[in-house]
Amino acid sequence: MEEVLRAENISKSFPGVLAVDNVSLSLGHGEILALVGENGAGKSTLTQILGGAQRPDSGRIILEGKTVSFNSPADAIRAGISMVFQELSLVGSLSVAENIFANRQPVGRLNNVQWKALYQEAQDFLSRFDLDLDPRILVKRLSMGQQQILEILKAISTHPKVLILDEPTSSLTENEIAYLFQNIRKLQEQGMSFIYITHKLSEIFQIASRVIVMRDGKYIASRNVSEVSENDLVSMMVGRQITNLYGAAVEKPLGAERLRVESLSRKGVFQDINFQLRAGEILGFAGLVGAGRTEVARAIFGIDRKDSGKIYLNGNEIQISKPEDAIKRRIAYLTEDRKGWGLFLGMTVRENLIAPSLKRFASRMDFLNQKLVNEYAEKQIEIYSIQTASILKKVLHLSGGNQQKCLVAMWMGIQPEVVIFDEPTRGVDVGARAEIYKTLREFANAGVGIILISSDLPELIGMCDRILVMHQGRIKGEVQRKDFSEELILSYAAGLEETQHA
Amino acid sequence: MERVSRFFRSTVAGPLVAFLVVATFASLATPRFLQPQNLSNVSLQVATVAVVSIGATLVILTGGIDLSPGSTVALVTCTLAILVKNMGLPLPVGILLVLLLGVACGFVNGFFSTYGRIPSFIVTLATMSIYRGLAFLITKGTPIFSVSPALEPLFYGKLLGIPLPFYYVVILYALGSLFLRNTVQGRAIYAVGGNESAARLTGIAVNRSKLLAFVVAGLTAAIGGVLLTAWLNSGSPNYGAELGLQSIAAAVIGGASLVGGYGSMIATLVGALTVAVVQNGLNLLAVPASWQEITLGIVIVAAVGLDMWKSSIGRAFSKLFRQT
Ligand SMILES: Nc1ncnc2c1ncn2[C@@H]1O[C@H](COP(=O)(O)OP(=O)(O)OP(=O)(O)O)[C@@H](O)[C@H]1O
Ligand SMILES: [Mg+2]
Repeated sequence: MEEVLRAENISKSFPGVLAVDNVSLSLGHGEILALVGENGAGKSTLTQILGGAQRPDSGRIILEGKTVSFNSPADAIRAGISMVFQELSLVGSLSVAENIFANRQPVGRLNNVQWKALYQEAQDFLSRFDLDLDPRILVKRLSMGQQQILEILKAISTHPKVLILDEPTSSLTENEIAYLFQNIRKLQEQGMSFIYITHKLSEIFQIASRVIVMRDGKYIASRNVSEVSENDLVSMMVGRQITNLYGAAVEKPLGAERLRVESLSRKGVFQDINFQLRAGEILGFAGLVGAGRTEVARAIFGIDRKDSGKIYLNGNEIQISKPEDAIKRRIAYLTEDRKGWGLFLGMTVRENLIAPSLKRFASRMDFLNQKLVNEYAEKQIEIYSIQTASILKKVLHLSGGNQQKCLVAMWMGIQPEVVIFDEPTRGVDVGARAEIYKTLREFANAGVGIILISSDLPELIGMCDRILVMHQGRIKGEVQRKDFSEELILSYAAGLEETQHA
Repeated sequence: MERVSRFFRSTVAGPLVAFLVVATFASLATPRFLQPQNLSNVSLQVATVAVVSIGATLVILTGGIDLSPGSTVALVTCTLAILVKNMGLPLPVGILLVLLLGVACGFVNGFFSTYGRIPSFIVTLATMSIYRGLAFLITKGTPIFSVSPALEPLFYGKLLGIPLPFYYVVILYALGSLFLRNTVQGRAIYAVGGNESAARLTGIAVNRSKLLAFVVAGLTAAIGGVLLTAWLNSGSPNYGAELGLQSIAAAVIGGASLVGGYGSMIATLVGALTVAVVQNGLNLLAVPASWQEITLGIVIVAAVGLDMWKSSIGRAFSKLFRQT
C-alpha cells in the first residue's frame, strides 16, 4: 500500500508530563488506522500534532513524501489533513451552512458572501450524505449526535487526504454510528485515509484494518486487526489483564425504597414518568438519544422545570425546584455534558473535587481548611486513579477520560443516597471504566440507589438490576435482569413493542 | 402571515417593541414629541450615539467590551479643535488626522487585549482614563470654542430638507450591516464571539478579527467625535463622558449578548434610537438630569429583561388564555 502520511519520532511534553514520547507511525493510502490507549496515553496530543493544533517538541511529519510543518489547523487542512477534535468545535450561534463552510463561504466579486449559494451548497453537500438537515437552522438547536455528525461532515467537506477522528462516536446512537461507518467506508473507497481514535474496542473490528496501541505517551505495538482479539488489545493498553469488566453482581435482596417518581411530566419533553428505585439497586435508563432520559434526570435534580408529578425520597414527598435542594437531600447528578455543565474547566482538580461539598471543609467562620482540602483531594485522586501531574493542574488540561473520573470523584464527595449517572463512561478507557463500574457497585452495595443512563447497551446489561426503556418521552418498557437482551431493549427503544405491565 | 411570524421570531422584534413602547410614551406625554422640528432634533441627538454604537457592537460581537469610546471622543474633539483653530490646518486635513487618531486609539485597545492577552474590559478601563487624561493634557483642561465656521454646516446642513447627520447614520449603518452580514470577515466576527476555539480551529484569524473590531470601534468613536465637534463647534476634555456606556446600552438594548456571537447592526440602531428618544422625551418634559439618568437605567434593564423573559412571558400569557 502506498504511504500517505508518516510521523517520525514525535515527542511533546507539557509541564509535568511527557504526553508523547518518541512515537512514529505510518498511514497507507485508503487505510483506516485505529489508535487506542488509556486515558492520558497521548492519543489526542499525537493526532493534534498531525492536525496542526499542537506543535511537536521534536520529530518530523511527512505527507506524501514531503516534510511538512504546521502552525495551525488551517495549515494542516490546506495541506490535506483534517481533524475532528474530541471536543465539539462548532459555533452554536451560527447556522449549519455557515459552520460547514466557515471561513470559506462562496463569495462574489466584492468578496461578499453569497448566501443563496452558501445554503444551496450546504444543502447539496448534506444530501450527498443523505442527511436531512435544514442548512439554515442554528447549530445550537441540534442534538449532540447531530452536532457530532455535522462536525465530521465539516471536516470531510475540506476534501482531506487524511481525516483524523478523535472519539467520533462517543455521543452517537447506534444508528448514527452505522451511518458514520457506512460513509467512512465510502470515502475510504475513494482513497481517503483515516486515523480513528476510540475507546469502544468493538468498533475497531468493524471499521479498521490496523491498530496502534499507545501507553503513557509511548508507542507499544501495531497489529493487523484480523490478528488480535479485544482482550489482547486491552492487555496491551493497560499492561495487565482485565477479565470481567462489569464486575460480578452480588445477589442480594434490595433494600427499602429510595426514590419514587410519580407521573412526572413536562409538556413536549416527557410524559407520565413513573418508577421506583430501591436501596442498592442499579436502575438503567435505555433509549435513543432524544428519548428524554437526560431531561427526566435534569427535572428530578431541579435543573429544569417540571409541569407536574411528585418525587418521594425514602418515602417522604420532597420538593425540588433547584439543584441546591437536590444536593441537600443527597441526590447527585453526573451530567453527560461534562464540559458545558459538569466541570469548572478553568479551575484546578482540587477546586473541582471539593466544589459540591465545600461545606465539609469549612470552619465555623466559613474559612476553608486547606489541610483537609488537600488531603481530601489527594485521596480522591488516588481512589479514582485520576491521572494528573498534581491536584493543582487545571481540569482543562486533563485528558478526556480523566476529566470524567474527576466528575465522578467530585460528586461522591456529597455522600449521596441517590446518584444519577448520565453516560458516565463516555470517552473513558477500559481500565478506568472498570474502576467506575467498581465504584458504582460499591455504592450500590452500600445501599445507594443508582440510576444509570447510558447509550451503551452492553454496559446497561452488564451493570443493571432492571432497565427502563424510554421512547419519545415515555417509558415504553421495563426489563428485568433475567429477561435482558439487546433485541428486546432495542425494540422498546424504537417504540415497536408495548410493555405488558406498566 | 409567514412573514409576520418570521419577523416576530427575528432578533429585531424585541428591541423594536421596546422602542415603540418608549416612543408611544413620549408622544402621549407631550404632543411636541411628534412635531417635525423635534423629530429632526432627535435625529441630531441620536447621531453621535448611533455612530459610536457601531463600533461598540462589533467589539461586543467578538465577546469583548470597549469602555473607552467616550474618552476617544473627548480626545478627538480637543485634537481637532487644536489642529484647526490653534495650528490653522485646513479642516479636511484636521478631520483626516483625527480619524487616524481614532484608529490608533482603537488599535491600542485591540492590540493589548488580543496579542497582549489582557482582558478587554481592563485594557479599555485603562485607556478610558488615559485618553481622557490626554485630552486634559493637550487642552490644559480648558474647552476650545468656535473651532471653525466651516464645521457647523457639516452637522446642521440639510439635504432635501433632512439633516445631514441622518444620512451619515444611514450610510454608516448600511456599511456596517453589509460588512457583518455579507463579508467573510464579518461572519468571522460572529464565529469568534460564538465560539473562539472553534473559530481558531477553522482557520479564522481570531486575534486579527478582534483587533479589527477594536480598530473600527476607534474609527467610529472618532467619527462620533467629529460630529460632536461640529455640533457644538468646540472641543472639550469633558465631552462624551456618557457615550461609552450609552453605546454599550444601545447594543444590549438591541439584543447583543455580552458573551459574544449575538447581535446585529439594525438592532443596535433601534437600541440607539431608544436611548435617544428617552433622552429627548425627558428633555421635552423638562425632567431634571438626575431623573433622566435614572430613567435611562430603568429602560436598559426593562428592554434587556423583555428580551430575556420573552419566552416565560409568552408562556404565562398562553396559560392565562387557556384558563379563561
Ligand atoms: N494543554 C495541555 N496542558 C497540559 N497537559 C496536557 C495538555 N494536553 C494534554 N495534556 C496531558 O498530556 C497527556 C496526554 O493527554 P491526551 O489528551 O493526549 O490523552 P488521550 O490519550 O487523548 O486521552 P483520552 O482518551 O482521555 O482522551 C495527559 O496526561 C494530559 O493531562
Ligand atoms: Mg483524547
